[in-house]
Amino acid sequence: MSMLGDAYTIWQKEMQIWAKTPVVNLARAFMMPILWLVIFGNVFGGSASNVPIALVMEDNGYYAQTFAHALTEGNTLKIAANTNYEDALNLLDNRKVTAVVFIPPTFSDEIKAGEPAKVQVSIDSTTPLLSGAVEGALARAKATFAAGIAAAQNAGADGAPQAGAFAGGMGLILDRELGTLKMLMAAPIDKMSIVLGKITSGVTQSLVSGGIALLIAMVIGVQVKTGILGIFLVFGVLTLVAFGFIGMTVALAARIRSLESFMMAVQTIVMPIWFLSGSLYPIETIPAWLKPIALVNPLTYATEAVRSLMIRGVIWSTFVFDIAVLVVFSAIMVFIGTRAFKRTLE
Amino acid sequence: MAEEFIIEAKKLCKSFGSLQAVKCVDLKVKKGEIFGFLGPNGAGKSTVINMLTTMLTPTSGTARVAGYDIVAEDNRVRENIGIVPQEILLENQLSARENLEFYGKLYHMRKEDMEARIPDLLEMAELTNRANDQVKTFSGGMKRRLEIAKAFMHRPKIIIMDEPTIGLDIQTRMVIWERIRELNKMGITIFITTHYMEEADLLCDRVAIMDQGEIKAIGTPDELKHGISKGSIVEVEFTGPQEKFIKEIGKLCNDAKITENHGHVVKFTCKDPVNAIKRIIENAGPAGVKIDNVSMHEPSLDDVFVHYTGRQIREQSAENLQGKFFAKMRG
Ligand SMILES: Nc1ncnc2c1ncn2[C@@H]1O[C@H](COP(=O)(O)OP(=O)(O)OP(=O)(O)O)[C@@H](O)[C@H]1O
Ligand SMILES: [Mg+2]
Repeated sequence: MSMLGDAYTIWQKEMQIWAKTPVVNLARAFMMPILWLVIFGNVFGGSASNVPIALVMEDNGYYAQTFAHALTEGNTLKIAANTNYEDALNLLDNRKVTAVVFIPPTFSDEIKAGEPAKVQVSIDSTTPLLSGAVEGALARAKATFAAGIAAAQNAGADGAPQAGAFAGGMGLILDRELGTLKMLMAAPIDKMSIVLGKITSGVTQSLVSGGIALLIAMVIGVQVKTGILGIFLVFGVLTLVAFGFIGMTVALAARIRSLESFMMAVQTIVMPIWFLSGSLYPIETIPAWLKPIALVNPLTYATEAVRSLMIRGVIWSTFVFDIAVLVVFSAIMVFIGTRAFKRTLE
Repeated sequence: MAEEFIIEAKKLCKSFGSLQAVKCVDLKVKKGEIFGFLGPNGAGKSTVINMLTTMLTPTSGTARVAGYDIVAEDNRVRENIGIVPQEILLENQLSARENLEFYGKLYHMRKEDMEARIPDLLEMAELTNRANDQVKTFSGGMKRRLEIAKAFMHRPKIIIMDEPTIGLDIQTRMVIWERIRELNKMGITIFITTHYMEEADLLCDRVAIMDQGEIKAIGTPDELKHGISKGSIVEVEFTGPQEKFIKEIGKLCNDAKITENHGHVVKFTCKDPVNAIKRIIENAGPAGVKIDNVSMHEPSLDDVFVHYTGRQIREQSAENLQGKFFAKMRG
């Protein structure tokens, strides 16, 4: 029982130290993802511009309009004609347009019902580069549409593992170097409480940065689709993610002694996880051979869950599955992390 | 009778791989004494301390500290001891006061007790006016003083210090000795390791000499000194054929025991030093030796140390430091 009390003492101390350099900590947790978003957000679909397409809108609902608008964002695509299906196909055959995008009448309703909506795309495949551009732009449009002002939210979702990686494992390595760990080990407390205090303080720090990212997102104008409950659930997801990743870095810290190697290991692991999570750019756009990795990537499910809470609206069956994945992931990671680290203390 | 010995180790051993750092040490520390552990670098002092403070698990053997088994009841042991480790373990980002508070919480002190105690400890560490500064802005000596004060925070029965005065100037060292004596008068048992002869001699009630993982001798400083020689130590400095003259000394007083031999400087003990000196001077000429200096002194802990380890602690440490330095230079 006093184990939790001791963990709380350690948590308190960690937070005390953290609070001494608030600017540094927040900037670190929060700037990184935004920076990356700015850099990588423009990677796809940037190779061609003003590619002419024909748009066939059989639905004029709000979502269809928004989607159509999103298509031309970034100037990759240009809507050369807004017409009916047959005319559009004619234009395609005559090479007047490179693609036809067909928004079916059920589009808005499907989205409202929370189902994955479909658009049909016909592409002139004789000009591979251009059709590639169309595909890219389409995917991007989908992403923009699906993600809304995704940057801010993504920063929220991605801030968690990022901040976590630093707060969790690095702290332990530093402690070992600085001997703080030895002081804790000499105290009449359970070793478990040391690891627990470290992990929970890392999680708290992640949540604070995630929360601030969310706040900024809301100031920018992002509305959380699922309301107050949604905000709570977003924090729930962030908590799970943070536990999972901090557990992971603690396990690494148990194995790796030097700070440099640790940072390298974390980067090597965190970067691909992050890139292949659909948070920077949609899963649809990543190369096929990488897709299986995205599917076993826990961050994919976190991103998915946060997006559905904030933008798309929740499909509960999917959401519950996402959460289940995250629960299993973080439970395993925390277990491995504490076990591995406790062993190094003995 | 058990509580008379507040620390009691039986055949305590520790190996690191093939290296036997501590070879089955027996040790008894009396309640209320200041017990010193004297030994050169790598003797195994810290390893013994780490076992007694439950930071290391012994390879074999047992020990009881404050009546509790160091393995089975490690948390009870920790509650009853204060530790001043060889390296400074403070939270650099926190202030002196915050460090003490954190430590108090780790030792489950009540808030009122902590608040009552912290000003005294800051006073003792002479850090009252720096209480709210981050520890990283402190000098080495200030950190040391805080580290030592910290160990008293939870009023432990025993304080175990691993070279608490290492690297401090002599004034600071003497202040710390004074503090240690004060605490000892309050009934706290002190267990201290040191490189410094004078620290062992002047501060400690009893001293153990450790070398290469073994305890070579235990006793009060006086007992140890008299243990190596009933009388005084004679030191002769001379020029001339060395080996021959040293043999000569053996013949001149047949109970002479050479304790140190540096070629042109020889130290030995014997029952009748005055007579020995007289005969050495008389026989120097015929032996073709010129006597440069002769002196006689009561045995010191230095002599005891040399007697049991065959080395002088200072040379040893200096060598070691140099070694470390060069190792560092080589990368
Ligand atoms: N964790 C460890 N792993 C391997 N060897 C160790 C470890 N700790 C100590 N040793 C070895 O055990 C021996 C005794 O070391 P110890 O630190 O106890 O010496 P010491 O008497 O405290 O020396 P010093 O005066 O330099 O502090 C040394 O040879 C050292 O290299
Ligand atoms: Mg040592």
